[in-house]
Amino acid sequence: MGLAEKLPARPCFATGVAQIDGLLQGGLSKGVVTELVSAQAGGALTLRRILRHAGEERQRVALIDGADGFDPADLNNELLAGLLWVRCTDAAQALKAADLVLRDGNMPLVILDLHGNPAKQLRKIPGTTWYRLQRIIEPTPTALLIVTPKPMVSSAEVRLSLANQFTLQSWEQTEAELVSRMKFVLQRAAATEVHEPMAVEAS
Amino acid sequence: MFAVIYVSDFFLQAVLRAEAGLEKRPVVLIDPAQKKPVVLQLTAAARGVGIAEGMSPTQALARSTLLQIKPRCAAQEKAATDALLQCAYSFSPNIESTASGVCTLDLAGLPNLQHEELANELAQRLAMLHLPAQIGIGENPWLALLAARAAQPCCVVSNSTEFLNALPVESIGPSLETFAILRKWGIYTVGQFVALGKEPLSTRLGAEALALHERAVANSTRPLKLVRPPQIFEETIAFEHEIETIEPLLFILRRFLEQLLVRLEMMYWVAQELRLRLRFESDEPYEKTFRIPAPTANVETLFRMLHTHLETLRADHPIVGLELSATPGRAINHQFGLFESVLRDPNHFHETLARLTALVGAERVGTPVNEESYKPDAFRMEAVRLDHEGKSGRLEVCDTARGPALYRFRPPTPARVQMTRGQPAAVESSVFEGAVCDTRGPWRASGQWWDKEHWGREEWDVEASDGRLYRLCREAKDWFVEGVYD
Repeated sequence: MGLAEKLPARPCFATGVAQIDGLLQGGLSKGVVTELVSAQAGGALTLRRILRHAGEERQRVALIDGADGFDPADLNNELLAGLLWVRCTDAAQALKAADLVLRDGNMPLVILDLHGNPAKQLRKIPGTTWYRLQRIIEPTPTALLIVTPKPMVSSAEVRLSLANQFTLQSWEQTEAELVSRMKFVLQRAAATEVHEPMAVEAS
Repeated sequence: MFAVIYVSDFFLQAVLRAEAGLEKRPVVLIDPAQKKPVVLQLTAAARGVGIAEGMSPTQALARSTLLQIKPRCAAQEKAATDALLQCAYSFSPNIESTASGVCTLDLAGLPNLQHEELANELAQRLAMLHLPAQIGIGENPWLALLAARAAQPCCVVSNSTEFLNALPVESIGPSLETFAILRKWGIYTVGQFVALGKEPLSTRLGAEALALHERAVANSTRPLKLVRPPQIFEETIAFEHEIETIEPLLFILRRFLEQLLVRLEMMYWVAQELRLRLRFESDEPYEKTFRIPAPTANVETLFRMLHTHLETLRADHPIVGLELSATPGRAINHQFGLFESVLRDPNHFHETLARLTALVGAERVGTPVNEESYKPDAFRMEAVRLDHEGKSGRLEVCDTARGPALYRFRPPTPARVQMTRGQPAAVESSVFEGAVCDTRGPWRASGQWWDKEHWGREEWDVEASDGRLYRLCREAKDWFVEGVYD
């Protein structure tokens, strides 16, 4: 394996979710806005997986929780040690918090979780906000992942969508097994729209 | 060789250095402890309008309506003395606190010293501390002091006889009586005084003349009473007018911070902690300590820290006094590794946390720590640890999590649940309304039965007709939708 393949041109943050890292050739690109659209189910599980992986790698992560829905109970305290959790009351407050954390530039990964916020709050977000966030992180070594219930981040260079559904039988499976069965679709990749979505499922 | 730092009108300068531009205005200093306070020291502008030492404040005010009368402040005088000694110590390890506003430095052993350069540098550094000083350098402490008093602002005595001969006779400090006699004799300079001869002088003027002659020839040295500058870095001010808004406070704070950092840098320290004390009109004290994650001497970083905090501070009474002190520490130098996740700027991060706290509240920012309890959603928020990166290597944790993740509704959403054969059959709530297709449960849990915080609940996982999984819980007779499995 050559050096070019070993080290991707753009530094990225490995999520620990094989499908995402595979589709994005290594992980979430730093200095880029990535949108994860979770319309049905799987958004929270994906976040938990990313946080678990970051905790194992002793990486710092900021989670801007738009509707204060994150449940830390499934991760032990050692894994949570590097997490900055900002529990917001609404989407507007979450965007202000994201602005502050992104300008700080100390966090390698910032997750803005809006997938639990009511549609009414999300509709009020001006389109320019997304461009502002993009401008902030462009020169920083920070990856920004925005989790939304529907495609809405106009400045996202990368958009992944998650089509997934759980049943009561899902409790028979471990977190790793469940995540590996989830289907991620790459809808938009850096600077180019993907006309035929690329789907990846872990083998 | 010896150097003397001489700050004329030191008590006044100690007060003036706290506020910018005050030295150019007519300002007089009085001692409120005196029974009948009189003007002790005054600025050149005050002298220019006809005010002189010894006048009463009323007389002084009659000469200028713009006059500002400042009281002596022991804390400010101490801060100025500390600053003076710290500055002197940065040039020589052997220093003496000779008098208020006078500091003598022993320059012996300092390598290849250009005395003019040293004197200029001393004056410049003291100017950074807002202490206008005169510097004199001479063969012995007394000669250096005479040079300092005559300096504008620096004077290096290379030929002591020539220098002394030109000095006015009053510079060697004769008593008023002796001075009057010397004037009658037509003696105006030290040179003329020395030319009279030691023995004739002692015969005619007594023991005082011997001491004066000794000073006039300035050929004897004395050991210095060495002092170490205190490790106290503090600036203080009592406001003449109460402060009600943040802007004037920030103006003074920045000036103080700059001075403290100059003092710290002179001693090869950086600020490890800042302590801000405010005194309100109601005499209520306020104190806030700022621990600096990465000790620094950067004014902007530290000022932002203070600014961010003061923006969120609300008080019922105006501010009448301010005190800022810094705890010295060593700078931490860190080399960034290629694959490390060290905070690039811990101080900026600390400030960001303060801003986030101001935005969402202290209890909603931090690192979650799960409590040792079976009670659902039992966690506490702790301050983000800045030493997280101290450990290295991958963390090996046994992965036992099963099933989807719960996305909580905080607070849980009240619901009406219809039960059929002991199982939820339909749910009516603001998040979901409809039939239940499948269920898991119940899981019953309880705890803390021994105190008032006792709890008991019944949990159900339900698959709803909208295809999503919800967690229902029943506490007493009330049902809630606790979250959605996502």
